[in-house]
Amino acid sequence: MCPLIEKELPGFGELFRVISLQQQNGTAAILTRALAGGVNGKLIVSLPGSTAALELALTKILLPELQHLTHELRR
Amino acid sequence: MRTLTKELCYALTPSTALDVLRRRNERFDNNIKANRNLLPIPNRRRRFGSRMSRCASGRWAASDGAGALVARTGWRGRSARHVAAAVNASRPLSTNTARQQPVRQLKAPGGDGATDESGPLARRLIGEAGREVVDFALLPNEVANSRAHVARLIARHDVDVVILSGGTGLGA
Repeated sequence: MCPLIEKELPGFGELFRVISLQQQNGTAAILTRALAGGVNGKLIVSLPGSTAALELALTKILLPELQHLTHELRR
Repeated sequence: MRTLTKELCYALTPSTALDVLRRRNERFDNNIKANRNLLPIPNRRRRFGSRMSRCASGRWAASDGAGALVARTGWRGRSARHVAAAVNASRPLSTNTARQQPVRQLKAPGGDGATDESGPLARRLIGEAGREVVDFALLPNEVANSRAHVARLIARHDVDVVILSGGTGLGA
């Protein structure tokens, strides 16, 4: 998805890997390429397929910030 | 002449192999082109395609980490966004989901009876957060195809966020 993204949000992937490191996978957290970024006023988020990782990314990072993110993207 | 597929190769016996060679020599002697029937290849793909669409209903897909899920989160129309923001908790906002699934995974052991867990989970979590899932799809794990799908999604006015799941590992 990288080529589609105009403005990457590196903090998303970084934060996801930090939380994954602390709560689930230990240093295996480096294995994920989860990323997020903006294109044309829209947000693209690429998450791992496992249910645990998905739940972590959605509930701990994405959904709480969603309103803020889309607000910023539209400015 | 049929295209020699892997299955046909395995089914060859010494006598049928000889027969194939004999016919090949005959064609060579008479300068007849192989006349390969290539149609079975796209036809097989078409059949596989129908399998993928079954996958979209969640019966085929396995989700053991390699699966890719696309969910999109969005508000309904820009004009309503202030209203939506003001009544965040009470009024359902819109969210959008599509689901991506690697082709490889469909062939994985256990893929047959396995269910798609990540998709419903994402939809539930997004719904619980007060967003509406406006689209959801299982996609084969092909980069070009997935990119095109995402490009179509972000062009829509009712989509704010596209969430993909799966295919984020090194091997995927």
